[in-house]
Order: sequence, then structure tokens, then C-alpha cells
Amino acid sequence: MPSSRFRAVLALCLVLGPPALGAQDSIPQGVRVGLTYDPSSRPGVFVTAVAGTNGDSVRAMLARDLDFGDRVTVISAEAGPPPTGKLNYDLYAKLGASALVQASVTPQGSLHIAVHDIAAKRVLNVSDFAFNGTAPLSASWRMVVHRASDEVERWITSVRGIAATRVLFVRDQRLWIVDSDGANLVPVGVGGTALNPAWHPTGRYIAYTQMADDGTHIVVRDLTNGQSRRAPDLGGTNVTPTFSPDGSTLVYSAGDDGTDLYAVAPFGGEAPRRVTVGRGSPSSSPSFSPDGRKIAYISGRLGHPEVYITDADGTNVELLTESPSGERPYRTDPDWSPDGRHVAFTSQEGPNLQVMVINVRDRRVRQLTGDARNENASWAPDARHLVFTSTRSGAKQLWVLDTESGRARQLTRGAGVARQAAWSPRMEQP
Amino acid sequence: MTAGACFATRSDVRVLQSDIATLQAAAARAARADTAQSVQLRQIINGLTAVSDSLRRTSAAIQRFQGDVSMSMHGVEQQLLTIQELTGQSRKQVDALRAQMEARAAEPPPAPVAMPGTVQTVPGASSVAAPAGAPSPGPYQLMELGKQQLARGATSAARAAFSDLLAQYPASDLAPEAQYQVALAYASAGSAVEADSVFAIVAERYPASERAPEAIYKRAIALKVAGQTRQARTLFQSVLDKYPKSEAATLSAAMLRDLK
Repeated sequence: MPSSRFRAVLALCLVLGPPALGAQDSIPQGVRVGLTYDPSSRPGVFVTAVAGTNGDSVRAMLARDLDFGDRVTVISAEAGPPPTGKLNYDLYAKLGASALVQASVTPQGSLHIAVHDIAAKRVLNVSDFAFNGTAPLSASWRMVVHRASDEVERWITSVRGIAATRVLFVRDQRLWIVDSDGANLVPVGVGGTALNPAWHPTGRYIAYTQMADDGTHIVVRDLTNGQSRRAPDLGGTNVTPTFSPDGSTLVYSAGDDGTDLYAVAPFGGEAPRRVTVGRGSPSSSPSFSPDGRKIAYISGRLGHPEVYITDADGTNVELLTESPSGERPYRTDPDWSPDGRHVAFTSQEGPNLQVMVINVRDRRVRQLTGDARNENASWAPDARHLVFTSTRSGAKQLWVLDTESGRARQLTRGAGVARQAAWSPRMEQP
Repeated sequence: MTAGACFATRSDVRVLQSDIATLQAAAARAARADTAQSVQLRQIINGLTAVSDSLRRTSAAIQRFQGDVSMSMHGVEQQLLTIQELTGQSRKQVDALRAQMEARAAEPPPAPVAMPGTVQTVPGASSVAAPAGAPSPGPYQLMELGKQQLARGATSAARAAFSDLLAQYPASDLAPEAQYQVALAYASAGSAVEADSVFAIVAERYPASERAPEAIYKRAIALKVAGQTRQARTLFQSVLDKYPKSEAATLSAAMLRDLK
């Protein structure tokens, strides 16, 4: 961490104002000129004050998004006024910064961002992100800033951030959506009791279980216009829907005596196709591998719930979470990571449920949580962060965990039980 | 006629009285008979009720027995399924152990440590033993290796390992699985035609293997996706006919219902 003396010097220099940046902005967009990112370390990043309307909010959001990405260390120091001249790279270097984010809200209604490579003393990348007339500080406006943050993270670390994402979850039997930074909490507005929400890969549609007087149904809803359609009722209970990675298939659990997985076209078309043969035992909670070839799911065919994987056509079934002979563990809620390497699941460990991940290649299992009850994990698009339900703060709330550093932050607060979270894909549109 | 009727003689009255008495006696006899019949009927009804109750009890007992038997059968089926699953898992663990044993057996023995000040010499041999030719990996090792490569997405390397297994250990218990994995590796690489041909080999060469019905089912699915419904139906039906108790048969039956 930088010393207070360095901070004071930095603040003074920022107040005095460095020379103009104009010449540096002329570097073509998309050209990468240096900064070497080491995944094992977290390079320091300084976010300068942001010129223009709502600049303070933009700076706060950029800094927070980069911090929540857990790949860089955001240097906290007084930003002073927005830099207008040549940057004092040496000063930022003394602060521990490897990169500097310089942003401004332009009169034309866009967010202009330049990222500087401190060591090379040059601009690393620069780009404009149009607000497209969205109302300042609105949800859509905020999503533009989040997208900018994600690009900045990609420029610095080569990995795109996850700020421009949302989390769909159940609170008191209703569906809610919250931005990944905890802001912009809104109800989805579906009638009746809703459970097991899942995102379509486009982020435009969701699927969920609707509990009605006449039973349970799978509903696919268009978030842009609120239109809904029911997937075919396949008898008995219809629960735990999930979309295939290409969005062309919806798989869910249905049945009377035990349940099996069935695949249907989410927007109508072909007849339901049976995926599993449980022979009276329950099969549920499907989750596709990112290539769409395999499905992880829960089956009770051993007499207790375990995570299995099967080819998407229903063949080649294999137990993923093996246990020592004689043990009857309780495993549930598998979620296949977007990079295909891991499956997160919930496991009964002693008196509590805990979040675990298993490496699909070597089958090594890692326990990620230990405090209180933790369950229902869902991967972020970066295959590094998980959102899950935890009682560590008392009532069930959603938390976000960085699986590499172990850092956790609370996502939801307030009254009511928050659970069954589903992390969205990256939101390409507001 | 009216006058005649009015002038009835005493003897007529006696006859009439006698007739009435006869009728009354007959009525009394009939009443006695009705009572007896009623009693008989009541006895019969009581008997029938008792039989009915007995039958009901017997029926309930039979139903309970049938239910118990059904539950027991279901339980037995579930236990069998569980045993099959556990057996499968145990077999996997045994296979993994065998692979480890093969790996250990393939390791070169530790070189003898020369004591300080001593020189080990063998007449006619050099002081440094020539490394023996590295033993080739066993079938379980090759299977593990191939699966690891396949899980990594290295489909060519996976195929090579499975092909080595087939070439070096054609009589191994793992041969059907290796052949099936070769097909999976092709499918994983997007080589659908090659995958289909190898799945066909699995079904033809190893018809008794657990993978045979799956291989045929996968071929049928590929045909269905390609729009060749008739050929797909034929293969789905063949799974049902040849392997009626397999999971692939259950899936095939569902497919055939949809394809009607």
C-alpha cells in the first residue's frame, strides 16, 4: 500500500495539474502496447477523477467494478481534479500503480476512457462508450459504465470483467434481479410463486418454475416485453429448468414416480426428448457444459443425491462426485463453470451445507465455504466468481465469492430470504 | 239377482262361514310360512353378510399383500439398481487401482546404491547398467491416459491411447470401452462421420458389451438429427429388440413414440 506521504504528493501534483493528454489520445483504438499481466499478482490500478456530468459516480463505479473483479488492486487515494495535461507517470509508479484509468463524460453523451501503462509511460488503450441517450444514473446508464469497466479490466489483464452482469434470484417466492455490484434491485414481476430461475444465454429470456394451483409449470419469459410461454407440462412436477449454451434447448425435470430430465425447444417446436432414465429415482437440476455436449445433474439412483454427468443425448452416464464406500452424502445443485473445468455443487458437510467445486478432469474436490450454511452456487461468466446463498450474516442472503482469493462480499441485504441465484451472461445490451 | 242374494238361506251362511274359516286358516298357515321364510332369508342374509365380510377382509389382506409385494419388488428393484451402480463405481475404482499398479510395475527398479569406497563389478558387464527398455503401459494405464486426454480436449492424443490399447491388448476386458471412447473422441472433435463408423464397430464387434446399446442409440440420434428418420427409427427399434432392459432401450422407446 502507498504511504500517506506519497498520497499527499500525488494529491498535490493532481491539483497542480499535469500536462495535456491530447497527443497520447491519438494512439489508435485497440492497439496493445505493453502492460504484462501476471495472473498470480494483482497490478495496482489508479482511477483518476472523471471530468463531466456525474463524473464522481462514474469514478466510483469504475473503481468498485475493478475492485470486485479481484484481478487488480485499486489504489485508494484522493483523486483530486481530473488530470488535464501530461501525466506524471513516475508519481503513479511510486503509488504502486501499474495502470491508470483516465475517464471523462463527453458533451456528446459518451464515456471516454484511456488506460495508461505506467511503466511504459504511454497509453495502453482508449475507447468511447456511448450512453445512447439513457437517463443519467439509470439502470441502462449504469450498465454502460459497467461495460466500460469490463473492457478496462480486459485491457489490463486480458480477461474481461463481470461488472456488466446481473443476478436473478428468489426472494420470498418472487423473482428479483440485481446488478452484480448490488445496485438496481428490481422485481421481475411474474405472478404467483416462482422458483429455480435460469438465464437464457442471450440474457433476454429467463426460465423458471411456476407453482400454481394446478401444479408446477416451466415458464419462459421475455424480459424485454414481459411475454411468457409455458414449456410442455410433462406430468407430475416440472422443475429446475436450464438452457443449453446455444439457447436452442431447454432441459428440465419432470415426472410423477421419480423425475427424469427432458429436453424441449424453449420457444416451441419439437416434441420433448427424454434425457435420463432414473427408473423411479429422482433426476433434477441440470446444468450444461459450455460446449453443450454434456449435462451435469442430480440423481438419486444410488439411494442418495449425487452429481452425475451424461452426454446430452442421455448416454454415457457417469458419477461425478464419488464418495468413499459406505458413505451416503447429500450433494445437489450442480453448476458447470463457463470455462468447462469445474462443476460447483452443494454438499452436506457435518451439520451444514457447503459450496464445493470439483475439477472435471482430475475429479479433485475443493471446499470453498466453511462458515454457516452455504448453498446454491452459480458461476459468473468469468468462471472465477460464484454467487451463492449463505446464512453467514444471519438470514439467508446472496454472497459473491472469488474462488481464487477466497474473498467474499455480500450482494443482497434487507428483509426476506434470498436464494436460488443465477448469474447472468454478460449483458451486451442495456 | 239382488232379491236372490238378499234371501240367502242359513245353510248358505254356514257355508260362507266355513269358507271364511278355511281362508283364515290358510292365511294363518301362509303367515307362519312367511315368518319361517323370513327367518330363513334373514339367516341366509346373515350368512351372506358374514361371507361378504370375510371376503372383504380377505380382499383387503390380499391387497395389502399385493401392495407389500409390490413395494418389496420396487425395493428389490431399487436395491438391484443401487447395487448395479455401486458395482459400476467399484469397478471404476478397481480399474483406477489397476492402472496405478501397472504404472508402479512399469517403474524401473531403484538403482543399487554403491557404498563409499566400494566398486561393484560384474565380470563382462560395464559398471553402469544400461537402461532396460521402458515397458509399455498396461491396458488400464492406457485407458486412464486416454480419458484424461479426452477430458482435456486433446482428442487426437486420446484416440492414440485408446488405439494403442486396442492394438496391444485386443483381448482385454477394456477393449469395448476403448473402442467406444475412440468414437467419443471423434465425436468430441466434431468428426461425426468417423464417430458414426466407430460406434457401428462397437455394436458389431462387442454386442455383449454395455456400450453396444449406447453406440446404436448414438448412431440413431445422429441419423434423426440429420433428418434420416426412417433409418433412425430402425436403429431405435434394434436397441429395443436387442437390449430391451438397457437404459438406451428406454430412451429409444421414447424416441419411437415421438417419431410416429
